Amino acid sequence: MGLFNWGQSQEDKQQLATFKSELDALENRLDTFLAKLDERVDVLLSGFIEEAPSVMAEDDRFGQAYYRFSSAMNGQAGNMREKLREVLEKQIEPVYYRYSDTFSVESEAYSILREWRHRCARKADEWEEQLRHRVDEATEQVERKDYEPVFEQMMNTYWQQCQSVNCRQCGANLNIKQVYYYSAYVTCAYCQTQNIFEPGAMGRDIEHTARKLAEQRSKHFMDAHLERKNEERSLYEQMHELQLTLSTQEFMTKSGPVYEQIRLLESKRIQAENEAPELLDKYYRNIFDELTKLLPDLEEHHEKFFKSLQANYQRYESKRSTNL
Amino acid sequence: MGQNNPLFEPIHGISLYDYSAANAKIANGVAVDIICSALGVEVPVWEDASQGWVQRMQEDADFIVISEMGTLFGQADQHPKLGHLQPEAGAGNEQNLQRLAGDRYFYEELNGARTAAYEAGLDGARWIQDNYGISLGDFQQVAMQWMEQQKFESSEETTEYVNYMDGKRQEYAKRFADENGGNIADDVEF
Amino acid sequence: MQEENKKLSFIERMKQRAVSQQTYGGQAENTEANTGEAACLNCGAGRAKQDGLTHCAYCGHAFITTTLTDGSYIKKSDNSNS
Ligand SMILES: [Zn+2]
Repeated sequence: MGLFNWGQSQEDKQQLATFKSELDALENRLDTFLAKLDERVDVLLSGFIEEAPSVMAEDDRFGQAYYRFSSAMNGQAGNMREKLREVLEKQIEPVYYRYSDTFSVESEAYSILREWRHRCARKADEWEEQLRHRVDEATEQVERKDYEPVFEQMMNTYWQQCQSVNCRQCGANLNIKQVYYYSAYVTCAYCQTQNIFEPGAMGRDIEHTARKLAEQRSKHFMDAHLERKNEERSLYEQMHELQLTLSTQEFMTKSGPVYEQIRLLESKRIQAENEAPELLDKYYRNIFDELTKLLPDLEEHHEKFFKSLQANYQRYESKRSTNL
Repeated sequence: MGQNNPLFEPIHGISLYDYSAANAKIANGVAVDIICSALGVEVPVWEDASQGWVQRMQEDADFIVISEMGTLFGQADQHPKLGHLQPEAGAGNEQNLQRLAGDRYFYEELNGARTAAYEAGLDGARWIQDNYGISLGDFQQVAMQWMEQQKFESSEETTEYVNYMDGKRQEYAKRFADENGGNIADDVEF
Repeated sequence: MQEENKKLSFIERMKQRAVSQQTYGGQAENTEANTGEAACLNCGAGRAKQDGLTHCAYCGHAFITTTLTDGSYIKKSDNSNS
């Protein structure tokens, strides 16, 4: 008994020191482990960035080899994440449970133990967050592409190919004047025969590329939307922190300089909260406007598609109640 | 369902059931020409109808069409005109397919293996085809059937299957990694 | 340096596997715009616009046995009269 009810005796002090050094050692090992994993993440991501262009260059038009390559990269990131989770589960948590049962909740040792566990978990969370961020960044860097010239090139190739498409019956040029997204019956202007026109890979891929280009042209609205959302969250957190500093007096009377500050933050927060969904709306509206500019024959469909999409993202909109 | 709903009107005589079953067969490797002759249309008619069905799904905010398509996809083999169609390469491994449809654990195992394959940089659909003779279309069809089934399961059962699947995923992940010289951080120790 | 080489070869292996794998259903082909056979298999006649798409105006062969509705490229008016 008394083993973990450390008091002021020499023996107790020594036991506390041993306990602390065990925790420190484990935490240091965790730090080292994370640093070693980080080195592997460096190798993985720099290799991914370096090799991706050559994978893409040799790929088919659906990008299937690149898809496998990037899946493998994500798979390795996932594998490291699982390794880390296993360390927490097998090296950190058991130590916490081994001691926590023997300490009284008010003891100094228990609070050291709890904070240690919390710190380790936070380090793991932060590492994972960082990993996700780096993977996203590498992926974005590799996949970044200016769709303006890509789309233009596709259109040019399509029109060029169409110039040599002739009527099967009389040999006259079919004089294709529209983008066909899939096969269609096209009537020869000279002999009135209906031909089965196959638009080829260019025509078949153009709707997809147009969509990518429209998204690219609308991206600034999405960026602004995300910025507003972050701003709103950060303002909310600032308010929350200030609220914790309110005196009972200020809290009850809802007045005083801190309260004024909170109110100011709240008005900014509400503004950001209102602007975020408006910007999201602008983003999608702009995508479909751009799409109709690129592919005017699909305008009616674009309008209906937009309305359906809008109904869905508006379903998930919600506002915070701050109850000031 | 939705008999009078204009969203379910056939396009060029091609119903949502025709469209869904045809897609299941195409995913199984049945050629589009064969599908078209069975439906009594030419390719441009099939493609115009397909485009129409895709657009209806995109325009339907309540996902009624797409969820109905999922159900019908699973009933492809009962389709009066398309049900009997098989890919030229043959029907695949009938025994494994039956096991997939009858043995939930076997299905979850292949599900986990497929995920692990993709995470290892392999083509998961191809892996299942090569190792079990089960085509992508058949696999998806069976997956739809199990998903329907899942609606009637208790959450304990669902968790049990999810855990089993994840265990298998990890098992296969190790195997696929070993086949290619291991993972990038295998030698990093705590 | 030894360590570095070993790790570089991991990326090489990862790349090798991704590019050498056979894709399910095969590689996507890059076809060019062209025309396919549209004449009657029975009598060889072409299909004039005014005759519609579903039946051959000369021998009655049915190209399409369903009834065309209003789609994107194909309309009700493309049904043959016969
Ligand atoms: Zn004829």
